[in-house]
Amino acid sequence: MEALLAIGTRKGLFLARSSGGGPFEVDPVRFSTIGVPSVAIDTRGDVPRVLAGIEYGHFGPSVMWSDDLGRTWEEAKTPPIAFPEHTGATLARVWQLQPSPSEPGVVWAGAEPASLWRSEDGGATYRLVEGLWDHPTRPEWQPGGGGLCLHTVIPHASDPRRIAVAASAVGFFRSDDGGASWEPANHNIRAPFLPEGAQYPEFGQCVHKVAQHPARPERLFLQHHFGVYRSDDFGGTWTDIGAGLPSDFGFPIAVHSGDPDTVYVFPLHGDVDRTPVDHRYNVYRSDDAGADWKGLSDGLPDEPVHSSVLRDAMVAGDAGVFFGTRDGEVYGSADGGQTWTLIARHLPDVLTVRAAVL
Amino acid sequence: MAGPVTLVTFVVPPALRRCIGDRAEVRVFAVAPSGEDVPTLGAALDTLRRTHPSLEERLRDENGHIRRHISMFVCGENARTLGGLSCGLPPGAEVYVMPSLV
Repeated sequence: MEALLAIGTRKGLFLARSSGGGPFEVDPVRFSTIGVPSVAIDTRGDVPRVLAGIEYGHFGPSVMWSDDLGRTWEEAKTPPIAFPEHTGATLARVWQLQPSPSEPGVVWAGAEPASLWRSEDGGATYRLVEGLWDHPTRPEWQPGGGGLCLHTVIPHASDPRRIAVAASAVGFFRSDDGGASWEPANHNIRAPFLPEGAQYPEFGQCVHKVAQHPARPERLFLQHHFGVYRSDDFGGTWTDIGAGLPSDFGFPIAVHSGDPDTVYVFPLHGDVDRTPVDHRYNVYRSDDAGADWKGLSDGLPDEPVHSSVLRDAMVAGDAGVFFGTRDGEVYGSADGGQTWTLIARHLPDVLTVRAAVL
Repeated sequence: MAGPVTLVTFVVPPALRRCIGDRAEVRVFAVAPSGEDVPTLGAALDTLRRTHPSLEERLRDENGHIRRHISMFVCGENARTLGGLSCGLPPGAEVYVMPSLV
């Protein structure tokens, strides 16, 4: 098995490769002075394409791609993601790159200010999804601590007309007409940071991350700003599944690509103290879709830690389970999280982690 | 009818030279909108958007505004104090692109 691990950090992209189940070897840094807040490994084509959303310091954000596993990179001749003039908006960051599972050549991007973009040329250039931008609630959207960011894009695994997004602090929205029209879908999600009597808003929710399993696309898992939820109807209703966790505050949530009942979270103390519970790295896994949770820390540091894991810095799939920390460590597990191995350390703070079997 | 034309040299900082084939300078024409006008920095950047879009997008956002942390010095003066994009360019003007220090 050849596996590729892509680690986007505040200063550079690191690619690591594993052959035959062996250890991951980290290549030299790419974009060494450039933030890489989003990355995708698109394995749909003849050769894997690595897409990177870059934050080029003073010079603005962009999207680049590599078809040779990071040796060379290309960029569209014109700005790949640029707001139309009538919006008056300026792109601040590309938060998410998501190849479509049902439409060849289509790549979705989530950006800041909160907006959804669609590429039909493999991720080179994108156009604004105006249906979401023009949503009547948008003037009331407010940023979370990370900015007004659309950080999650979930195209339905088999039906290209259906797509969902999540933005902070806006909430979960879905479309069943390919993105032409949208509805907020946050029923039963509690926003404990709002006053009593107003804690179940239609929008204005601080959703941190949402994950979907491709084999069961109606099922979604959601990490909220306090609260972990599951939906079995693509966001129609949400059920709290966080009772068995030491804390239901956190950022990432990941579903194992091998099992739609296996989900991972990374609990933090809370929104004021954003450090791991008990100051130990401890990934929590449920094998029954959130009914029960088990902490997995074998191989993780047994000394106090004070760093955290950002919303896109954990992934679970055929290549393994991985997470990266804000103090530049990356851990991986080849057995579903039972045991962990340090893959890299002393990196810049890790913004995103993606992995794929090539 | 278009007005006067001048050749403008953008002197590019090292971080952006890969956008122009690892060169330090790029030359473009700036065209004034009419015979009553002079070529401006904005006109030079408009040309740059056509000839070297991957460089121009680093200097201005999609609304055509010079990015916040980019300064351009025209003949030794910060263009922000000379009218910004409407700053007039003398014949053979050199525009030094200066990113802010971090």
